[in-house]
Amino acid sequence: MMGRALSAELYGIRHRGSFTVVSVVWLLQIVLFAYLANYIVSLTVAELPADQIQAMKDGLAPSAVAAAVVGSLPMYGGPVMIILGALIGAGDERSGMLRTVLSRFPERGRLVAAKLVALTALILVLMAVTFVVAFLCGLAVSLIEGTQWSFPSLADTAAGLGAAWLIGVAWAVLGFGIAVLTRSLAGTIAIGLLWALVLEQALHGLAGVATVLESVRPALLSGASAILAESVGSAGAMPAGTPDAGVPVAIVVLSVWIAVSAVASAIVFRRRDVA
Amino acid sequence: MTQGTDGPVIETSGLTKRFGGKSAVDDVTLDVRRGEVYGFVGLNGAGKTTFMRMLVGLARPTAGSLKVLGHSRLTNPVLRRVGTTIERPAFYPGMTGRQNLSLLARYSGMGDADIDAALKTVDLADRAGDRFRTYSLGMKQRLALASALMGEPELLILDEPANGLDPSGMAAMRELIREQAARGCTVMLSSHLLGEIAQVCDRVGVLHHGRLIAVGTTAEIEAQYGARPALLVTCDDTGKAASVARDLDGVQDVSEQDGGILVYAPEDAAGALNSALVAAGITVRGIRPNERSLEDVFLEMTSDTANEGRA
Repeated sequence: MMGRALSAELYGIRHRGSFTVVSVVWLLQIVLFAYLANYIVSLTVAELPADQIQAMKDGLAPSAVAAAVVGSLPMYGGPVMIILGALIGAGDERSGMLRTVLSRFPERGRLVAAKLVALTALILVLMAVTFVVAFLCGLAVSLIEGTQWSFPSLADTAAGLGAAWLIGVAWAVLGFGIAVLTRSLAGTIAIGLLWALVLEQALHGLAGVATVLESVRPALLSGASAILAESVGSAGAMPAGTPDAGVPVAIVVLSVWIAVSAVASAIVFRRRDVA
Repeated sequence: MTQGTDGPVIETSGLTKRFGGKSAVDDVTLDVRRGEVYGFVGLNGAGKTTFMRMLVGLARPTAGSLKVLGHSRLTNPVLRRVGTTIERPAFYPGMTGRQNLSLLARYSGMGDADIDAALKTVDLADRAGDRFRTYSLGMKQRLALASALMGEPELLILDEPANGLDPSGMAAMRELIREQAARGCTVMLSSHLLGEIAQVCDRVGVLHHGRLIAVGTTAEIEAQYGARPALLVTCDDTGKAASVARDLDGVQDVSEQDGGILVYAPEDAAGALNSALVAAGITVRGIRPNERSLEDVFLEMTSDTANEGRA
């Protein structure tokens, strides 16, 4: 029975233009910030040390695609994933479609499960497409520069894709949870951006002066994301530096964020009246 | 699969929904029989939509119980047999009518044949490829009806289905409801116009301030609430005329109206009434039996003073 709801949710994702728009925004961010901006800087900023310029160019190589993609998630990828989660969590509240759906499919636990599975599938597909787009960008840079290039190893790609998927899902399910709680797409985007770009970054920044916050940083979404990004070769995923914790800790932290957001949204969604 | 088919299709007992301290639906007990068209009528805010929302699981009852198609637990297989439109038509605005139906059909395991049949029934097949946001209100209502009709449900729950429809659309809606009833579908529909749904309903339930104050055929309701005979008098001095009429034998009550008075008395009191008014120097322009429409009956039933008087 969840299969039917999953089929419907995936159909909705395919045909609602908002998902395509947000996904394209994310891909444009990758092209512009991870590749074009870095490439222009490597060409034009003469006062940088030669080894740093070389490191920037190495990061643009097709073989470094995992680092480029995963490294983009902690700062500007996370908010985009929150918006994707919000679209699934509250997109049908705004249109009133949730009422239409629930009067046909009243088993809310299964509906929430289907929405979450559809969201994780969406993130997986989006990350796979992102890797392809990033690879093509890296290939373009290599061809322009006339340098040797190679495909990334299968192991690096799998690890990078797994990390990108886990990070993306954690942010997206948080967005889904906020959307279910607030029943508002705009409200979720506002709260999500405030959380991701202001609160978490402020905590990272303040950790430099209040050392007690240093132990909190790995527990933040952006902190755990940065740890995973660094593990696949991304340097400088966060201006405040990567928190001091291992990959297993980061995986556990992200999993807990996913579980808490999913369970909280399921509990709320099952109990309340739908207007 | 069709367990519970012998009993009422809808059965509620003491169904209550409170928001804070206010009861939107208050202790409503009713049953809707298989194959009948049941009209649920009440003023705006009477609690009709809240009642229907509880029937399909959108709202939890504060107290009481309900059964739909014999089931007190609303599961997907149960609601697959129920077609519903609640409040205004709600679909994804950027998707076409057909895409919206296709999405809903997936939840219920229905296919293209169900969608095509429903679109044809509501005469929307030609515009099914247009985006929902481009539809007129009438077309949106028809799409909502199409979504309810997919899969030929055993029960239709339609909340104000005539809203936004022009007269020809309303006539088509009535015809469609008759067709659905003819194929054996049970229909429960709500409206704030008793006269409108009386044309298609076998029985009517009147909801007022969340309470079910009357149930029956329209003839039964008219007999119960509209049986007070009255004479409508048009004259030049309504205040004086009312005073004179009140003193006559056989007059139960008098109310002043625009340009006249309504005298609650038998028709054969017209002669004596006319004489008394003329003798009092009042110019009587006409006296005739007051023919009350069903809507007048409904308005009287749902007037708070009338209900306080009956309580």
